[in-house]
Amino acid sequence: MEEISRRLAENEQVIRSLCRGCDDIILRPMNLGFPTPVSCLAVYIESAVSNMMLRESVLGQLLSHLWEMDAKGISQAVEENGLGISDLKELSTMKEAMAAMLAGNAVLFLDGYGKALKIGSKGYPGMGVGEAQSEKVLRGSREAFCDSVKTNTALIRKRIRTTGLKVEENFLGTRSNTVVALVYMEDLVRPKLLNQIKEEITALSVDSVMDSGILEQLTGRFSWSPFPKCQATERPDRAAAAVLEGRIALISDNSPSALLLPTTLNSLMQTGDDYYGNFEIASLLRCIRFAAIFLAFSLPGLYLAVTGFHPQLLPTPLALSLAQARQGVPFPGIGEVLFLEFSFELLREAGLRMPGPIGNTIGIVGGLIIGQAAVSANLLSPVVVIVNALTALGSFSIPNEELSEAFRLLKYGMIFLCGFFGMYGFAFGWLFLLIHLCTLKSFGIPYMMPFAATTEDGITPVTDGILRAPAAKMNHRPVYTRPGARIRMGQENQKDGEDQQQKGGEKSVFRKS
Amino acid sequence: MFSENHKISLRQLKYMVFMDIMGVLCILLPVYLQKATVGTMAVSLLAGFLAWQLLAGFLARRISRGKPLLEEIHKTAGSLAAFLVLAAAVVYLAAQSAVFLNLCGELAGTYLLPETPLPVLVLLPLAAGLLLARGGLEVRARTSEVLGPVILVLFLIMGAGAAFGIRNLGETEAVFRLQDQVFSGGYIIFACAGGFFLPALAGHIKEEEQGQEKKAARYLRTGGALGMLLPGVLLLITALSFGNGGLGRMDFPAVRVMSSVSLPGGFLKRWDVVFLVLLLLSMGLACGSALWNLKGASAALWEMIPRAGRNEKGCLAFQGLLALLVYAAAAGFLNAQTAMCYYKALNLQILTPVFLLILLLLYFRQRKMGFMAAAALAAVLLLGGCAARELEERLFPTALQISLSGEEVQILYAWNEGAGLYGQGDEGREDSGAETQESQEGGQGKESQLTVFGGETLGEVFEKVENYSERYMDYSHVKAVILDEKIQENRELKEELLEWLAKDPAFSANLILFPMEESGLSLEKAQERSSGQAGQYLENLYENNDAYRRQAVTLGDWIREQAEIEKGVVE
Repeated sequence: MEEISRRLAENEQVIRSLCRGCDDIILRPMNLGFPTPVSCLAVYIESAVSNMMLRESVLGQLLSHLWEMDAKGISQAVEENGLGISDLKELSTMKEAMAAMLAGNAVLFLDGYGKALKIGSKGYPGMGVGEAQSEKVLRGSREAFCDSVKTNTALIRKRIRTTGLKVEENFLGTRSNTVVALVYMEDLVRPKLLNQIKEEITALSVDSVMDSGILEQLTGRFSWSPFPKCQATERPDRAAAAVLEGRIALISDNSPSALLLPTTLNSLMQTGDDYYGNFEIASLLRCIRFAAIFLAFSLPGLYLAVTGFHPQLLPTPLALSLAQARQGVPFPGIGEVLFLEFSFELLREAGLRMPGPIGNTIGIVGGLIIGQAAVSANLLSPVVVIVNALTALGSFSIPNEELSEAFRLLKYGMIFLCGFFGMYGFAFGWLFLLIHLCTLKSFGIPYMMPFAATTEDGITPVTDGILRAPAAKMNHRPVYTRPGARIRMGQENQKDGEDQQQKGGEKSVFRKS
Repeated sequence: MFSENHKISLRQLKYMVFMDIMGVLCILLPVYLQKATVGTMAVSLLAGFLAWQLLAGFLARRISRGKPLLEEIHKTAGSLAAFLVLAAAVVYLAAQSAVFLNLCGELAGTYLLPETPLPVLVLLPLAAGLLLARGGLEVRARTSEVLGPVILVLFLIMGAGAAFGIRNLGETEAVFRLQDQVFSGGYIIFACAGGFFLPALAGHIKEEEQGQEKKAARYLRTGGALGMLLPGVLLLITALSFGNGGLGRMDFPAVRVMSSVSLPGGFLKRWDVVFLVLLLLSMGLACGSALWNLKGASAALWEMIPRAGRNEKGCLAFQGLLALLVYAAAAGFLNAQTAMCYYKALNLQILTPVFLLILLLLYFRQRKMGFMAAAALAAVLLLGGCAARELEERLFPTALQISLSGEEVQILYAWNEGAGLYGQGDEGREDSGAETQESQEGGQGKESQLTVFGGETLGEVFEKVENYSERYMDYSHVKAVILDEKIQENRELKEELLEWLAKDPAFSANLILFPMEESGLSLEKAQERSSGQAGQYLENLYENNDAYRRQAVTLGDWIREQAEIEKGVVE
């Protein structure tokens, strides 16, 4: 679009033609100044801009000041930002003006002035900072991201108060022009990774970016794998901690979650309060979570393998008891398991879609009554219900929802393998899974770090794997950090931090390990 | 960034070597060394181990230099020599792949899925091998790095359990006698471990670790030591448990010895299946190594063919044909014993000596292995069918009594008390020739069930057993057998019985055998006294009563004793 004209009438004509049919976009012509008024035009989205007449708003204060000035004074104030309004920014082209207006700001055009003024406003309506719903912790901050990218980046900035934290804004989506912020620590992030992400984001050509989930699917190399290559989080403390490890946070407007990349299986299995409590408890909880992977992925398959092929593994009383319990059940073992798993998936979906109280009730009704009724009617054996319940618990114990869904999906493969091939299928099912996980990389980082593969500098901290070391021993940053910047504790790190503050992040002092 | 250059670290190399070698040696060594005494085995193990340590030093120097090996062969011996070496490598690797796949399938067919055809069983390790071959060296290395420590710990626990299960060493002097074939045994152990194309990893170690010869040697030695010593120690335990003759009676004695290991409290019975899972994981990785090497060697070989070498589709067709041949050999033409014989001839006697001297570089190229792996998996599921047999479709006798009544062999089956577990109504029993004995337990009015099958030969008895019920007779929960001493005097019958008990993997190696007359036990009395839990009763009797424990033997002990007796007769 063309440059902004000095003639207000021309600008108005262009704007009216662009905004034809947009009844929510307000064009407010006015005359400001005394004794010779200057014609002005304010353009804004009705719900995004506060009442112009309110003295508290920036726009209102600006207009009331300009009202009292003469033409020369208005011109000077505008050109030199003599009013000292921090939210004021000059725009040179109509494209910039439209983008600013559509971003929820007010744009002021003045007759005789070849630029427009962007005046920051309260922006679009949205939910404020609430409590994290899906990543609950016992200890630690309870703040969660909201729909506004500005607020979200501010929540991270609140936790990392250094100019080394960079926030780069991009506009993605040819029609949505969604603001996507790239947040990273300049001296910790791997430059190659950063450049790769920037290139991919710039090269994206898509209609709209409604949520960060779309970004997740469009960045990185395409893969058939169900495992997530990025980690989504709704917690600002989590995002800040990730950024301090050298990861990049992608925050999209209108999305209450941030994407952290790259990621590994180990990172996906960690929760925020792993670091806020004792290392023994954290280690125990992590062991339980990894055991949950075993349950979620292979418990139904193991049940089928043992009961259908290798009952010698069971104690005799248990084997006989199970055999008696299965008397009269019309379905084969694999049929039982699949039927129950499918029922559970239906219950889960129904519970998610139903509003609050009804959703809770469905869970209770489905789990207790239907399960109990099926057993009483001899459609299922009681053991299968227990196996299914444990599998579900295991699945819910995995902290990352997408990782949990990946195992939920792959569980069916394991059911078929074990149902057809017993422990042979069990062994190879696990081997296939491990091979696949060892094949995966997230933006160049092997997915199985730190359990497999080593870093370029030879530092592969195992202090933060399945077991967590005491906080004082966690001296090294994980694999995501660029080589040379792996030390995060001690006097050397303090010196780095001070240098960062003094030099404004232009020069980083790396400690070669 | 990271490992885009397809290189691995020395730590990963260590675990790769361990995982590749361990499973295969567990299977091969008891077969190749079955005629050796325990003493000979121990010394052979030591000799093979020392030879490996020497080789590791040489390999480390080669690997840490980082120079592509094929180039060196070209330079020193010319193109023709390189071509011939590659051709020999392709033949060797194809045979190796076929043998490893066959062993996986035979293991599963013997212990896990006896009714599934071998061609279907071989497809799973083939799919795993193709996936690993497609993933490349890094994926193999990472998978080994993840699995290695877990399998190492579990192996040690199980090995300790098996060792503690040895109750009777037999004639010490005969057992530990050193034979003439000590050094050939050492060569066998060394060659089995050495035939894995480790020198071909030259040029695939990370730059920052190249030139570190000592470190490379240390890691190679550790990996090889673990891969050799663990199966070697297991071999000794197996030989002590079953004796030499016993080793020869079983297809996979290393697995069978684990059937006598169980957790205290009886929570997890019979670790043979669990041990099998570990072996299968290791052998799956070995299959992956063999197929990856084959892929690289065949690609390198194809490239050397004038004109045709540039045709990528031709190369793909060539590799596909090789894969089909490997599968056909693994699935169609070999049983486990034959496979191991061929492997011994090819590997130990011909090619390992050659390839230990000649080093190869293997090129990696990604082809459509993923598609082939997926196709193999799909074929597995489509062709395999479901061989599962539900619990309620099985009959679980918990104790047996085998006796001679005149000229008739009788086998008495004891069932645990429980509705619907005895198999049939009266009509069916008449047809099958079985008789059901009921005994009243005083005061409680409960009935417990025994079923007797009789016949002139054991074969006749087994036929009746098969016709007894529509359910499958599952012997995996038989805890004890009361054996009539008269059977020992009938050589033919004894041999038949021994064959049945030794061959059928359902019988665990710690199955207790009570002499009927000496112990004064009978199954009727046991069933009566235990309120229908005869198997548990006899097991407890063995564990808690010294007198009975002295009289009884385990199946493993009996197999070994009979083998020693036979050896004494023959010699």
